[in-house]
Amino acid sequence: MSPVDAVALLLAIPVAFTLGVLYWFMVRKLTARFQWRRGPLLLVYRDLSGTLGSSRLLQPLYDILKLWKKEVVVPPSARRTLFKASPYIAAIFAGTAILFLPAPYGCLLSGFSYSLVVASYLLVGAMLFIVLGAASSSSPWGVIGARREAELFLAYEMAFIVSIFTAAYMYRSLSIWEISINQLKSLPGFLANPFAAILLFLAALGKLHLKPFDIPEAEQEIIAGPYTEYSGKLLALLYITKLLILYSLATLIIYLFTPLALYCSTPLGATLHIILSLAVIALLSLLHAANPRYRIDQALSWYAKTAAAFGLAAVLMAASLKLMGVL
Amino acid sequence: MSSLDLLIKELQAYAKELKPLKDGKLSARVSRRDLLEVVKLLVRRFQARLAFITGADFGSEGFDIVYVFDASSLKPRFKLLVETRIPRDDAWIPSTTPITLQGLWAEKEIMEFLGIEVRGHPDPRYVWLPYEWPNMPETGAPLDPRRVHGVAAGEGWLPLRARPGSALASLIPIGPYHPSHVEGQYVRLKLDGEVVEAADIKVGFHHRGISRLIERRGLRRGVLVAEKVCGICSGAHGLAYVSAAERTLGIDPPERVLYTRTLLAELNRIQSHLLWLGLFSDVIGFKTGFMYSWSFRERVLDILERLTGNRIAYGVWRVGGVSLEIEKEEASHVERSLKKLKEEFLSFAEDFVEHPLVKARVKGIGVLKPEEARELNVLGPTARASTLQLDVRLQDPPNAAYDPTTTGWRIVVKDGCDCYSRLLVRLEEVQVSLDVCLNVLDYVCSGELRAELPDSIEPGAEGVACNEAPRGELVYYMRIQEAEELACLRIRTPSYQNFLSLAVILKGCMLADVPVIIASIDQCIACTDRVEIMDGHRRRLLTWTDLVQLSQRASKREEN
Repeated sequence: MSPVDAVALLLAIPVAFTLGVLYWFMVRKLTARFQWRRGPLLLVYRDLSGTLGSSRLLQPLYDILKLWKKEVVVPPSARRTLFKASPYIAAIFAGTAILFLPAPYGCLLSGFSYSLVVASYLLVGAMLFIVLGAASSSSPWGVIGARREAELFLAYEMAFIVSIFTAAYMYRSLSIWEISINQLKSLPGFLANPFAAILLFLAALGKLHLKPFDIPEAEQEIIAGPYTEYSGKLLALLYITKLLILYSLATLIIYLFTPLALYCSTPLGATLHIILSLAVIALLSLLHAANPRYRIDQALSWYAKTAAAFGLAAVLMAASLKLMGVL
Repeated sequence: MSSLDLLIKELQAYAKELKPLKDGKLSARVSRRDLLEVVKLLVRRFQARLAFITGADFGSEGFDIVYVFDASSLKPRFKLLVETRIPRDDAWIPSTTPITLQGLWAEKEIMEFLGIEVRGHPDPRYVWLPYEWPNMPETGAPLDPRRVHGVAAGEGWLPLRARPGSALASLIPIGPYHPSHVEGQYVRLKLDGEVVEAADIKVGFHHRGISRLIERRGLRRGVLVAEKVCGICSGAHGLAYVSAAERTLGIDPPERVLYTRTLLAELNRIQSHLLWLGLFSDVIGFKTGFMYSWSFRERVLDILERLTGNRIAYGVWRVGGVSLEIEKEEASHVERSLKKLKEEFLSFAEDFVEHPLVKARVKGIGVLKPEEARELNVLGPTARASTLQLDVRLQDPPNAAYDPTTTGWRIVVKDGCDCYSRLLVRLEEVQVSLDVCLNVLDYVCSGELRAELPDSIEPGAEGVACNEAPRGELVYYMRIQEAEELACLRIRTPSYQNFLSLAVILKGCMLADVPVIIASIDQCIACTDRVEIMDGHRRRLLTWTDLVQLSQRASKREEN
């Protein structure tokens, strides 16, 4: 590994975190605008800028910093070790997944031949530890939240796996970087197989707990679900995990279905990376704002029906393209 | 012989005294011995609805227990008061609950507030006091262990003190303070997985004794406090109070007053239903619906502020009149704003009820069958969504104008019996109320604003008036001691009755539907508890000057 690669790897997580903050700001801002609200201000009004600063672009970061300084309260009946360790492990999993995804400035480890498999398993691992931490919190809300998360997980993970492996099958590679490059030789993924792209998008809604799938965090029913008993630094870590997962999913969607790798390491590539991610996030926010929440059984049957239909269509489409020799 | 004459004839066998009241209502005095027979006769044979039971303490003379029956099925606007006097040293009454569930909570309240024993009551747990409260106040009557431990009969229900570890199924406490509640209440659920096996409700976390406050103010000034019973349906309380007072005194307010009152009451209903729509959207996780409906509500509040100077407590209700003179110019401004609001609201409402996910979340859940609704005496939109034709404006309108030909008012009834029907009923009522407001604007600009009050008031005069509050029938009962002094004033709010139905509806539903069902009933705890909400997290203290400035700035914004 050359020193340049080492520096690129070291930079990956800070860059991903910064972009995650930006993306989360976008989710909040767009949701607010769709809802006839202001949301966090990009330009603070002049009479408020004395106390608020000139912009609240970094609002998600301020939230995390605030939590970081707060006291951590562990419920006396919780399984202490698992409860306290889970957010750290989840954040480490999400952080490691970042290394296997392309960054705006380079391919990092995504050129490695099984990077798609490794990255998706690391993301699964992060979710798993969020569930474990909640289940060990001994709070009834946490336990119900964990249970809902686990049920929903089974549903959206199916959609996720079908989608990414359709992409892998179409472009004959398990490396995210190669999948993106191979699209140049034939058709870009979102044109060749829109069903697979939509499927990945739907799975992202579930993974990020956006409406209509924010069932594990339904505050009106179960307070904060898995996060109910978490406070201070541990909660901040869970937020960081969430930001990193948002970044990873946006990156995964754009690289698996566009030949973005072509422009890598150029200013144009970096700009396109961010713009396309923001477009994905704008769509996510629109769905988040336009929908109420499903009940858990409705969500499961929705994934079982709609997502299965899209999955079948994606696989058939990929197979027929192969047969016709387009890919 | 009409069934009403038959009823009166049958009553004469029991009644010691049959006294007509000022507005065609009837008051019958019976002895405690005959009480159950009379209740049975009215409820079982004549299908009367037991609207309220209340008691008044007359010192050494004993207690008066008043049963308010709604017999509008026999004759329009007919209400019957059955009263009985019981001695202080032998203070007990028989329970009517074995006959009908309609008086279940009212009897509990009598036990708690007056220390009267209700014999044969199946669930003597406290409503307002904490379950752990050690003894009945003052009378020192023997302690019923069921009251202290809070165990409902037959259910094998766990007391509040039980720790989660000792429960056989999961115990999920929802409240007293919970994100799905606007106000403090405690819903206790027994779950099997995500399915609710049993539910229990406890309220009474902020009782403030407002009835007593009104009694002390006297007949004329009481209305200013009555309006502050609730922050959402303040208009409904004001109207119900003045109607009760006018019926006690026997005055008929002039026409302009009636129409002005309708305008205010209906604007009040619109903002209340829009507030509910927001909370309901929030509960199904539809934040966007919440934001939109509250922004509509804000515009209604702006209209109210422009008309009366206040957004919540209008302070214009007067016994025999109204302190609000609406000019032509104001009326046309209100008309323009309302028309615009109506147009935008209708398109929003259409999208809302047709949203596939909204339908998926609320259709077919929280079913309350018509016969259950009748037995539990459910009121308001909740009853009308279960096919019951129950609307005070139809059966016994308050002293305001509700003539369908001039106001365009009509009753809204749906037959789905579920949360979706309750949603449809409320949305259509907003539409009807908007129409009513637009129609009555023609009548509010000219005419008399006050009726003459009588010089002398007969001691012991009593009156009862109902008003259709946004949540259902609101009952005010008052009795005059002498001059303008009130011997007693009792308020029966709609949520008080609707609470009863929750335990029935919640049984067998899923945990995710619990907040939706609770919200669909739209209970108002402020009314039920008659509370004072203290904002403990106020950011800064506002001085009087600040408040005035704020209010002036708001008015300026409105003008632009």
